[in-house]
Amino acid sequence: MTRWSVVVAAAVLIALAALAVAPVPPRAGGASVLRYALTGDIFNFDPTQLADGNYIMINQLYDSLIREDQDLHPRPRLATSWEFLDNGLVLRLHLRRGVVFDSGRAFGADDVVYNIHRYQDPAVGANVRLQALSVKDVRKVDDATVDLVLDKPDPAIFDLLDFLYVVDRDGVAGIKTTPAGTGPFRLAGRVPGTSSEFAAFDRYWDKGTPALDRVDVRVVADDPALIANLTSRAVDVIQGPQPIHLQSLKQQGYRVTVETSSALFFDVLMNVTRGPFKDKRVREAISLAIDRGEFVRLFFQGIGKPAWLPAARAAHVTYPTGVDAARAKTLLAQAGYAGGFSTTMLVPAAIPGAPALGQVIQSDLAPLGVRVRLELIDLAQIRARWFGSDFEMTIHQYGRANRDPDSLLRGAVVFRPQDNITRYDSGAYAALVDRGATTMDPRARGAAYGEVAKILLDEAFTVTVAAQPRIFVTAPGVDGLTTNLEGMPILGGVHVR
Amino acid sequence: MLTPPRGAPAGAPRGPRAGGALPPVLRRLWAQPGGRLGVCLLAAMVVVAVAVRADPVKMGVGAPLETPTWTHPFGTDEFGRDILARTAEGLRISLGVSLGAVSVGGAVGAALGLLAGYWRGFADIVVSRVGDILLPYPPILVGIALTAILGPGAVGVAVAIAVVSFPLFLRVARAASLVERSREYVEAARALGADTARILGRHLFPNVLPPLLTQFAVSIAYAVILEAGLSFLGVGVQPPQASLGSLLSTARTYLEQAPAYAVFPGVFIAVLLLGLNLLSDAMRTALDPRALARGAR
Amino acid sequence: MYFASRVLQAVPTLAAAAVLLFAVTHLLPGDPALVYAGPDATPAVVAALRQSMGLSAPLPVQFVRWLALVLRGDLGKSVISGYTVTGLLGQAIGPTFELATAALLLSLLVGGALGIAGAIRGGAWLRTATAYSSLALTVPNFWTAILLILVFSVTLRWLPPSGMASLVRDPASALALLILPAVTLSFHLSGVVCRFTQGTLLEVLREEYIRTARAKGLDAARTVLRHAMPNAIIPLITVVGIEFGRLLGGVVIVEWIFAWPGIGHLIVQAIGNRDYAVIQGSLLLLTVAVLGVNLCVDMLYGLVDPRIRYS
Repeated sequence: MTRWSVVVAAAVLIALAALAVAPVPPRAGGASVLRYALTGDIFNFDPTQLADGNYIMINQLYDSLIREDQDLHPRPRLATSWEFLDNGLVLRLHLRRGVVFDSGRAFGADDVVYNIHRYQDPAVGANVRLQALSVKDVRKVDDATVDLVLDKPDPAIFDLLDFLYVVDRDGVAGIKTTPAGTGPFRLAGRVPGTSSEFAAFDRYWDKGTPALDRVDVRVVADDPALIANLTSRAVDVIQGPQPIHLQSLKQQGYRVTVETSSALFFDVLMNVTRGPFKDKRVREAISLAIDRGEFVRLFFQGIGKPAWLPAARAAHVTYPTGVDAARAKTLLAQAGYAGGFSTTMLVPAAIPGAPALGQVIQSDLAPLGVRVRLELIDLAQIRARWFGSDFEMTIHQYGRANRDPDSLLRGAVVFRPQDNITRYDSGAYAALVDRGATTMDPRARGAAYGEVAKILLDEAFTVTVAAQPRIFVTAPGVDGLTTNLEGMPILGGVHVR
Repeated sequence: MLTPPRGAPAGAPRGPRAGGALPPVLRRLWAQPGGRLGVCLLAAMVVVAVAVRADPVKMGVGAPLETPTWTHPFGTDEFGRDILARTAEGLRISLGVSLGAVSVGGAVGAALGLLAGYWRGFADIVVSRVGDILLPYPPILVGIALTAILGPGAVGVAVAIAVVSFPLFLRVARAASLVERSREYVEAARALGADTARILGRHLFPNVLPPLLTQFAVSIAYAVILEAGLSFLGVGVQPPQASLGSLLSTARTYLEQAPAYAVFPGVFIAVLLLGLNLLSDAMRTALDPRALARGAR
Repeated sequence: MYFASRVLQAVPTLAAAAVLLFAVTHLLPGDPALVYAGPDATPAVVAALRQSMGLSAPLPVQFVRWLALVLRGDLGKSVISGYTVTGLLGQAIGPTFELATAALLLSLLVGGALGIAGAIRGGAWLRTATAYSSLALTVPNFWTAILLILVFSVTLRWLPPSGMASLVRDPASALALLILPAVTLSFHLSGVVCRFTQGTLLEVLREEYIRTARAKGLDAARTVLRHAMPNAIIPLITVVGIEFGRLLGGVVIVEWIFAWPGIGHLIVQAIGNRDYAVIQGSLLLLTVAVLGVNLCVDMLYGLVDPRIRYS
């Protein structure tokens, strides 16, 4: 037995030694490194793909032509100045000089031409393709000047340019695995599913940016792992923790950054060709019965905001004040459903908060006699059902809502007048949306969108529920984390003490 | 007057069994401390599952994420629903789905295995290969794929469990059938002109039953784990229904705020599985052919 | 002829498995074009993406194309991330192998030690070992994982809660990150090993020749190690071999909970993305591996036991 004891004792000692030595990974001496944790891995390195997972890399590895600020005013990035010519039908962009790609090749007008065409190519699958199609032609004037020819004056053109991240055409073939951009960082390491490393690009056009030498991006399993990584000081920043933790994190001294510019919203869709939902009174009743405040309280801990429409308040529109179960009951009775009915609601299981919203809605509709059965399904399946309009009710999420109304109303599958997945089809609605798209006069646009808002509230085919904040939590000593209008993190200005 | 013990006479080789075989088996089961404990634990779980009738889906019966109190012995969840009620529902679902699915999968597997062992030859080869086809794939993956195809929910999980249990029962029944078919009583029956159905039903089946029963208890345990695992991953029972697995999955987010949320459903799964494992171990001993042949009490 | 027939039998099984897993993969509702297309895609975009991903051809054609590539050793590329399937698998095998091996070693060590101690010492040791194995065999691995994370990461802050590091480049971190997932995964198997070693040893200790040895004055430990263990090893290997399959099943959930970038994690992620090439390639690899091992075992039995060859 003595020999056994020695072996066991040795093993225990080794294990303890490992434990003592292990925990916090050491920082490379002197280098300024930001350790960043999130729950979803980078999709691929093509910036036309605006999947959630890609947000961490887009503004680090690439640049866009301009960047919109909170008031939607464009600020120079790869384009330094611009003017409208030809009655607003041509937008001339003056490009920044001294910009180089990772490969060392200089950026120029040819690259803008190439990229705009790329965004328009359906096989590339760019998320902003529809907006890109409003550019009828791109002409190179000289190496630093480009003309965008529009088919009609486009009030939302800068929304497009804000998303137009420039890719090196020499690197397009391998773009999914190897980024090729002009951004402040370059890719220095990659383990798919686990981690990515960004290193500062020493030939970046904005001298002094980035302040960091390196960014270590780590993928963790889930929300609890995110919190644990932060509190054990294994990382400096976490992205997208669930709101329930924020109170406690604030008390522990962490800085909570909540991006509230309202790009992202939860909404509920009802298929206007199915059963009870053909009657707009039923749809309105359901919208009135959903207790948005309760959902925001339970899931967002009060951080998100209840919402009835994507935009800020439009003039001359009467907003509902809150839950109105009584009126909902009346409307249902008027429509002939005093006894309620049964229905199924699809829930995107992968979106945090969606299952919670589903259960809140289930509970809110039950007293009306509306028995909702939930179906939690994954992304691929729910997209198939959404695009095929194969649902009665569904929970959904739309983004890019804080831009020009035209970008949202003509782009989003749930708002567009043609091929709307709720199958809502109205000439009046289409005409109003078109009106807003084709005139540059702010007053005329305001009037048109006011009418649109009234229709959205009245017809209730896409029922907005709550604005979703993007949440970042940073450890003390980390400053300068900002986001663009979409909520994508910008790390170029981050300092780590 | 000494009466011979019920069942096979002491020292005689195993032979066709008349009806009264069960009671000595149950007695042997109860005689083992493991068997007693197993039965008691299972009974306790069944009692909880049946007796706790509070509404598991009503929101707001308490404040969200309350610690355990007298009114809510396990506390409340993020919607203010009573966790004890939800745990009891989870037990009901776990037991219901597992029992149903294993019964179906097991019955089909056992029937096929019985036939394959009896007929042998080409039929045996085909059936065995069919049974082996699922061998490489971990049950959890089979479950993920099936629930993705059939849609999430109790039905998809039940099908997955049935599909995964089927090969085990097939193998057990086939092995037992191969052994039994060459025994004298079967040959005797054949010589007397009994047809296949009669031989299988009357003679083979009762002798194949004991290992199948043991397999049943073992498979129920696997089924509970598989159902919990699939619900944990989110493809099992759908909200607002609760499964022990989905409760554990949701509870992870609230580990700091409400640790009881994770602890209690986990304890219940453990107790349920412990009871099943103890029971199946005891059954294996009680149904041990050597013990039965000795006519042991 | 036994050997030839076993190999021949494997071929249709493999073919059937290939058809089955291709069919199951394509039965999953949705497709990678939908995942890739983005939330506001138009039907034109989805169609163009499908075309570029080769999904517009009829299924049998797609199957033949895939099979042809596979027979040439090309498992294709992920349509989502662009990496080759062989590359992704190569990267994922290492972590899974590392985790499984660590779990195996841990379970043999812990389970073996407890089982031996229980059998030899009896009394309290026996009760501890029995209780341990009962617990280990019943607790589902995701609950073990939650408890371990709760205790060692959240409360004590001794160990990081998830992730993986390279053993070669950063051994200290790698070890710390390996502990929780390996312990979780090994728990069940350690219960099996404990149960088995204990049971076998107890039986052996009752045997005549052992009692003779004891009567001759040899102490229990030496008796066990010299006489009992060698006989117990082969059946132990068989049991562990059978249970290893279950271990691989447990790998899926454990890798998911701990964000361990192994094969299980790869497959689950690929299923979510409907990344057909990755799903099919991984499942094919799994099938070939298991069938290959089965074939080897069958061959081994045939070599060792002539009766099987001639049955």
